Amino acid sequence: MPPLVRLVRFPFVFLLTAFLAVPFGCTPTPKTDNGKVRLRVWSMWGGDEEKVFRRVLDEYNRTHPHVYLENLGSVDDNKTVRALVAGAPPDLFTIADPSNLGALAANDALLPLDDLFRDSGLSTDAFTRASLSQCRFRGKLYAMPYLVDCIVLLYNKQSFRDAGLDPERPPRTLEEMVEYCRKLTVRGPDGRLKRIGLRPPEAINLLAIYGGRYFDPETGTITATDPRHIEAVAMYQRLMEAQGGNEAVESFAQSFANQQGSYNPFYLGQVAMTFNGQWNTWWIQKYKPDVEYGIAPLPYPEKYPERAGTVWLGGNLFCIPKEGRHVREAWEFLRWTQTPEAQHLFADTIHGVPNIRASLADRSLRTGEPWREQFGKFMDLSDSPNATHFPPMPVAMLYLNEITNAVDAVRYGRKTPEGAMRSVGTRVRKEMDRYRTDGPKEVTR
Amino acid sequence: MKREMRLGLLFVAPWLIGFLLFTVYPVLATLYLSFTDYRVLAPPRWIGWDNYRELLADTETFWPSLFNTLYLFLELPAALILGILIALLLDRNLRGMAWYRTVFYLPSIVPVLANAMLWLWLLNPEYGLINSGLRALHLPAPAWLASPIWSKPALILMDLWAVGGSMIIYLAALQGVPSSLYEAASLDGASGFAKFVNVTLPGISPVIFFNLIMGVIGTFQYFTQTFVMTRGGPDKSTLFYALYLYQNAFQYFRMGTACAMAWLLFLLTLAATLFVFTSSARWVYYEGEK
Amino acid sequence: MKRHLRPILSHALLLGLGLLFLTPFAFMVSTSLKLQGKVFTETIEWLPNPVVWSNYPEALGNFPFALYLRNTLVICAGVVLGTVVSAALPAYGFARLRWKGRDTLFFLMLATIMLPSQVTQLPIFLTFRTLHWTGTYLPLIVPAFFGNAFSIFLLRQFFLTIPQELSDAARIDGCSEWGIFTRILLPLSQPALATIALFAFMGAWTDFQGPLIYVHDEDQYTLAIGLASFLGRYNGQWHLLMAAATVVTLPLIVAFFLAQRTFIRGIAMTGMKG
Repeated sequence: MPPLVRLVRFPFVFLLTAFLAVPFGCTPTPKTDNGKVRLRVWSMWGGDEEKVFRRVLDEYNRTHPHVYLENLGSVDDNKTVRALVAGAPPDLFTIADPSNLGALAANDALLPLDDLFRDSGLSTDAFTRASLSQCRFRGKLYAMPYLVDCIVLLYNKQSFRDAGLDPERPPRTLEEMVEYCRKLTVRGPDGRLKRIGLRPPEAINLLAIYGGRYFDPETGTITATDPRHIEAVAMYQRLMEAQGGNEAVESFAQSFANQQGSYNPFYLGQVAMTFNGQWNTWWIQKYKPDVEYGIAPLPYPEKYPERAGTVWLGGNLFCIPKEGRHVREAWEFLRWTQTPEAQHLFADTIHGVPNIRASLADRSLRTGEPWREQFGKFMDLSDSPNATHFPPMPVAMLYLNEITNAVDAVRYGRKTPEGAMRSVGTRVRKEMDRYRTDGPKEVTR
Repeated sequence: MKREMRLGLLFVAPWLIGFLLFTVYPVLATLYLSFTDYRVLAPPRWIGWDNYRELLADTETFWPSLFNTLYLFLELPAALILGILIALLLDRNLRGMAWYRTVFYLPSIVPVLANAMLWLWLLNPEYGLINSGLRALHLPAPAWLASPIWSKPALILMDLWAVGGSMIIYLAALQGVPSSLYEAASLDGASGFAKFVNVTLPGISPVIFFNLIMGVIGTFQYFTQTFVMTRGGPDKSTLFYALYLYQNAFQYFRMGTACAMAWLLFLLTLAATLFVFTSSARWVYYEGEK
Repeated sequence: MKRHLRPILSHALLLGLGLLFLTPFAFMVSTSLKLQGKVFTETIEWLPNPVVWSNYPEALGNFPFALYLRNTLVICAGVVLGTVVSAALPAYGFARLRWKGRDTLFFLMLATIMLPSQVTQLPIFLTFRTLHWTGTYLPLIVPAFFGNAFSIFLLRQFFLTIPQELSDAARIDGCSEWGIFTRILLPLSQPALATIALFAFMGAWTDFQGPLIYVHDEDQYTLAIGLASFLGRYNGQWHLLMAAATVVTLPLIVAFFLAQRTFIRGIAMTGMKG
């Protein structure tokens, strides 16, 4: 029994008998109707995406008559955590934010899948490398991907032409990108921005390009001040300066607010380049099919040519709780999601990138309408040797937020890149230290 | 004496039982947890005052989040005055008053998401209605939510729109001010303003007091708008206390720290409330307690 | 100023200010009637052209509207009933009776709302789990029957505005405390009761965290969750979201209308001798 439940139980049994000597309903036990095993699946998808995921489950239920998978949509990670604490998790669940994987695994809440993985005849080589490495923590496999999201460089060809750039030649290096940004930035007669070169990207994407280390794999020490990280933060600043300075760019970017659909600023040419995902292929097709855009890997620093071909990858993690009641059936489903049929079924409806190498060649996903050919480029890039993600670690969420805060502080001129990353290191290290004193229940004063 | 106490306890029993059943345990649990390193999924580990010590030494995030929150107190007097003024305006027997009342209350009903979307638009630094207006008047047009300096005023401005919640409480209270008092004041030849100061304000002072206390508590726990719209940015300028607490509790798996933050906030709120309470003897007028 | 000018002036003021306060709602309704492609424009287009009524059936078809409506109403009915029934008694006890320990308990009650809910959420969840109430509406409804501090505090303040002479006179006539409570205080507090009922209704209607935490079955979801799940990760269907939001908001407007009908000067004070 989880400790906190025990903590609750005592006073409550007492109060209960005192005040409410009435029995109330009970929790649902695993139901089996006509011999079927019912599995509770908690997934993050809501709205249209949920419908699509439900169709996947319907198909599975149809072809696997001995089980019935029941979906609960719109579940956030906190609900799952609460259920785990209370000792009543679902049989299978998604992790909406991959940064939570490390913390869940470090606290022993997830079932390691290595044995099941091996016994079912799957091999690591069948997976695109990063899609599986994002599921590994301290050498063990704690999740299965079912498709991934892939972030690359999207650029607007018309904007390139307007700026006198070759629309078939996207920037290869970041230094080149700085130049492009300068050329692509357009101001109105009143001096206000009309178009910027690059939409301010997620800070972590830029750090990923430089390929610095987040911690020392030998000692586990946090290495936030890796010189590459500091260079990446400085590069962020340079990119903003090339477009008229951070304040102006931020103010302009703020004006996009939540605009999606046909008013996405990239589709309108208000931003010429953006680090963005494969879903755009479908969205452009749907909302603004006349947008001419190109797809390329994220540009690399001149200094580190080995970083060519970087893309950011991740998402759609499925986990089985450590104390799951239907481990075998849950795994059977996860095994099935890795088949070409299952990959195709979901990829074709939710527009995620297959994580199985064999499915990357799936012609029906990448030929036909023009947008599918663009989608195919994402599929190719997703297996790049420099496909990268944040390493699963217990403090991942804090680390990522602190990195964003650090880049913000630099952008708004409050800190230097070194100073900002040093304070990231201090804060994350302190947190990591707490995680490592997980030995005997020592009582300190 | 005994009988009176029994009667009193009998009347407050519904609350008291609920308090013992549903509140005492969670409150004590959080107090205990605030002295532990509690990762939610693993058992809590006693660490004494460490959480408190670390928080108070944290000048990067904890203190800025507290100062950001204190900034919001600028809104309280504005909301108070605006709420009373609108309530006065709506407390008349005019044709179509039901409609007017509804209109003024509408912003408090509109779902947060819809409201956030509208305000992102109004505050849009480039095309927003507000900045278009400012530019037309040749005034500087701030970047609002994109600027660390203007983000908090922007949120306050947005909040004032939803003054309907306290307005309706004033409105309900205005119904209870005895008309005999107004008549008496009129006979004495009091002006409209004198009647407002001498009859209306004392008459509704108990609910002004209520709104002030709830305002203090609510401001310390200010969360939803920043959670939906700014997520603490830009450059931590809208990282309010409750948002940082939320991050600790639900994103960083630092429930012990979150509990310590909650108790620090509790003490602060308690102090502020006690201050309002002690001052209230001088300005709150209770008909029922003569 | 001439007497007959004043109503006109009042109307002008109310109309002008009212327009400002109408903007969020007008914006929501106007967006709900737009084509998807026309949702975002440089300047707000207040009058949609064309008017797309079909957004409404499309939006409501996105989730089982009738079922969620029923679920929401069940919770709302329970919460409103519980709140109104359980708030008045303690408020009377705190406002009109003199007894030892009253002020201490009152302050204790106020103190309970000073602790942010983010930290109490987990222990409360575990409490209900221990009671085997998770997966049902009980955690959402039952606590309302044990008086919530906000409503009790508000009612107490209202009770305090009612002159003590009324109670004293009744007491001399041999009326019990219960009689004073039900026959004098409650009828005089109609606007206040309507206000807490309105707040309880609004709270339950828009509560999205509560059901999300305690309900484990989609058949038990409420409108607030249906509305929130509209925003898929890359979803840009603001026009449909606004249509659903408008529909979900309408009952709140009706509730407000009903509540404010009790705010009529004069009625509240009929129990009082001039």
